[in-house]
Order: sequence, then C-alpha cells, then structure tokens
Amino acid sequence: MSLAVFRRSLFEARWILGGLGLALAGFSALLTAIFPSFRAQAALVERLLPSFVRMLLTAAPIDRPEGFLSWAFQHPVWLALALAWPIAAAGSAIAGEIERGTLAWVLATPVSRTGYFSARALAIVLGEALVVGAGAAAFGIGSWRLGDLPAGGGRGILLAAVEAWLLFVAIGSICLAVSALTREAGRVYAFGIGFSAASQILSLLAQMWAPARAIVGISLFAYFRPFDALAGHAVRATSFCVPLGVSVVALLAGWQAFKRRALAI
Amino acid sequence: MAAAIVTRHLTKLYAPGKGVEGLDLTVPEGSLFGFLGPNGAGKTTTIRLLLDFLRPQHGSCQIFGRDCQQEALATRQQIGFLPGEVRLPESMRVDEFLRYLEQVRKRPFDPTWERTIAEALELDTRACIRTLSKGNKQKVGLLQALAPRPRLLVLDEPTEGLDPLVQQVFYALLQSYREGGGTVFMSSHILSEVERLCDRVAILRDGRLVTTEQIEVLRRRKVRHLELEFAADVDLAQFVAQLPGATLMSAHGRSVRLAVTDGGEAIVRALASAPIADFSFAPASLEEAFLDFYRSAP
Repeated sequence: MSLAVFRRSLFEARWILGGLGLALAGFSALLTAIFPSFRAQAALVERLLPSFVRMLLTAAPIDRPEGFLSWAFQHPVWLALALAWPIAAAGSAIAGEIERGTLAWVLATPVSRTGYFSARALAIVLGEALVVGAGAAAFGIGSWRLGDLPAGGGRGILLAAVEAWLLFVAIGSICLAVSALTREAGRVYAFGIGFSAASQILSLLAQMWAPARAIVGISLFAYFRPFDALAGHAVRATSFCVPLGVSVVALLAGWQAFKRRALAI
Repeated sequence: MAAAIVTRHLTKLYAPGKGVEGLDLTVPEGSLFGFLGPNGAGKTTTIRLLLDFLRPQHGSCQIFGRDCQQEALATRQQIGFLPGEVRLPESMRVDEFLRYLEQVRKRPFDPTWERTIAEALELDTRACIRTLSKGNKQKVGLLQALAPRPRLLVLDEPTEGLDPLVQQVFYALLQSYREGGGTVFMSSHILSEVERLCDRVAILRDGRLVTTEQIEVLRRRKVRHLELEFAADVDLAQFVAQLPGATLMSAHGRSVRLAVTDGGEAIVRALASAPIADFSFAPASLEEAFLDFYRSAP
C-alpha cells in the first residue's frame, strides 16, 4: 500500500470528513435530545401513523431508548450523512482521478496499482470509521447525559455502530469496484445513491409486505439490525459477516479489475 | 552503447491502424530521441505501453533492460514523465504537489536542482495550481519530470503551451540534463524543435514505424525547392533529366518549380549551361523531409 496516497486521500478530504462527522454528531445529539418528549407522546404518535408504517415499529418499539436509537440509526438523514463519505471517496478515487486527469502523475511513479487501490480502500474504511464513530459517540453521550441509555448500554451502541460501519464500508467497497471500471465519478455517485436507496427501500418493504421477504436477502440493509445490539440481545452473525463478506468480495473484484484495466491516461 | 528503451514487435491495436503494430525501436542511452508522427500515429500509445498504463497484445518493451510490464515499478523508478495533456491537482500548491510526488517516489528530490529548474522556468512554487495559466501548468509538468533526476525522461509534446522564451530555457535544461548522462525520449509535432534538440528520430505512421534515422541522415533527405525562370524556351524533360533527384512540381511558361533532394554539384553545372534569367533555392526544412517520408512511405 502507498502510504503517501493514503495520507493524501485523507488530508484532501479533511474538511469533508470533519464536516460530515460534525453534522452526523449534531444530528445524533439532536435526536437523543428529543427522545424524552418523544417518549411522552409515543403512544399518540403511533396511533397517528398509518398501519403499514406501524408495522415497522413492532420489532423496535420507539418508546424505549433501544427502539428509538435503532430507528435513529436508520433515519434517512442519518443514513445520507453516513453514506456520503464512502460513495464520494470511491467516486473520486479511480474514476474521479481519471476524469480529472491526475491518475497518471501517481501511476507514472513507482506506485503499483495494488498499492494505489489499497490506499484508497483503506481511506474509505478509516474515514467511515471517523464519521460513524462521531455519530455513535453523540448517541452514547446524549443518551447517557439524559439517563436514557439503551438496555444494551454503551456496548450496545458500540456494536450497533460497528454494524452500521460495516454496512457503509460494504457499500463503499462496491462503489470502489464500480469506480475501477469507469472513467466518470458521476456514474459512481449515481450508482452508490441508487444502490443504497433501492437496498433500503427493499428492506423496509419486506417488513411491511410479505412477498418482498422472499428477496430481501439481496438487500444489504436487511442485515442491519441495530435493535438487537441496542437491546442487549445476541447480535446475529449475519449482521457482521454479510457486509464484511460483501466488502471483501467487492474489494477483490475491484482490485483485479483495476489491475487488469487498460488505462488511457 | 547500452539501450535505454528497447521494444520488440510491440503491438497494441484498438482498431486496424489505431494504436501501434509490430514496433521495433531502440533508443540508445544518453541520446535525445525524437518520436515523430501525426495525430493518431501511435506515439502516445507507445508511451502508455512504456509506463504500463496499457498492456501489449504482442511483443515486449524494456527500459534499461527491465521489462516494462513485469518489472513496472523498477522501470518507473528510472523515469520522469510528462503527459501530453497536463492536468494537475488544482487544490494543491506547486510545492505541495512536488512534495507529494517525492513521498510517492519515496526518494527526495535534490532541492538545489529543483530550485535551479524552477528559477530557470521562472515558476513560483508557492503558487496555487488553480491560479496558474496553461503555460505555467506546463512548466509544473516539466519541473516534476526533471526534479527527480531520472535516468530517462519521457516527454509527450513537452513544449505545448510554452512561450518561445521559455521554450529556449527548456531546451537548455534538456541539454544540461543530457550532458549529465540522462536520456530523453520525446514525442513532438514541432519539427524545428526535434531538429534542434534530437540526435535520432523515429517516424511513426498508422501505428507502424516508418524509419529510425540519425537527424543528420534525415537532413540529407531534405527536399529543397528550386524555382527557375528561363530566358529562352528549353526542353524541360531533357533539363530535368540532367538533375539527379529532381522532380518537376509545376511549370508555367518559362517558370518552373522543382523539388530536389540531392546532387548539388550536378544542379550547379546544369544551371550554368542553361539560359537562366532568375532562380531561387528555398532553404530546406525537416518538415519537408518528414512530409516527404509520409508521402513516399508504403
């Protein structure tokens, strides 16, 4: 791995990473701050919701801290902020560098394609750890300050954060593999957003509509069950193994594609 | 003399005639080697193969005896490269970009040499790349190629965008680099530049090598244009037949235009015996030899 490329990837993105970390931490803190008043009105809120949405709450009751935090981990804004880094970093890596015409500077030096690819992949993995870590820390501190820690305690929040991190790394890895095959960052961004949205919609749909459960296994979000960890239950191995496996396979595929690719740069 | 670059039957075709085909080339170490050809002839494809950006379909290429694909890292350690289209990371300053490349190469640049080049090119290394003009960005490209003092410089259209004064400075830098033992492999469209700098040239057409010549040999192949005004009517066919290497280009009344490749002494003798009212012998250029090569090559 090229340490110089890795350092540069994180250094260039320092403001984006810092901004995303702060935004996610701020949003997480805001959600934990509204929980006490939300809990007081939870029964009313639940009655107001349409029946098909209410089905989503049966597995994770929102009047309990673990249920509320589980919902917060899957809030669309939270997901959007957490997914911004892996998709953006993957897009700006290979496809973005080809598009900007800057890849030749590095690959004309004694840096192998493997070294470049692994440096970019590690930047996605560590950068995402910072972003998700900031959000999870805000959940933990906020819950603790308000005396509303979930049943699983700080460990539960940490495990849920690791699940989230693995999920986002898997999506980032798939995007990096796509980046290794294309010349335009925009295509990677479009793919990443579309793939994530489709995956999440399928996962939600499967909770509300039985026929969708037959194919929910293809959705990465179906393996993201933060409630188990937050409630102090045993976390299913698939919650870690599936995103981890997808990451490994996607990174291997992307690495091989990039290694063999003819680069007209 | 050892070879800096050797290609054997090097082939990478995108479509028939697009790319390079069966390229056999030897660039001697210490030479300043010009790589000529029109757009789409395969010059940049060859450079990309040397840098392992592309993989050959057939054949091989070596730099200082090492295979460009099998030992890509070792060969690229020896190369300073300037791409044909210089597109730099806009968010960096020039010195940050140089330090980044230094870290990537894991070998520090000689600060005195780096400063010498920057000063010669009148380049402000503290400037943000985003604010630089096209010419100044080209200077950054030249600086980063020369700064590591590579054994081999691979330059794709190096003076593109440089003003004539800076071009002169660049030529001086190249000569100085070469006197230090370096080898230069440069593609160019500017034939006067190649004529001035290079000692050997290779000419490429439709992906195939047309010829590899010493610049002196190519010079001797230059086509000159001889324009004559006869004082009286002459038998043109007979007159042209006396001139070795001459071709009749045009004739209007007693005015004729001839293309002449050699036979200076015979020409003077023929002119002395003919009723000449006026004549002009236009200075030859490498461009005409080059174009002649293109016209006459199979």
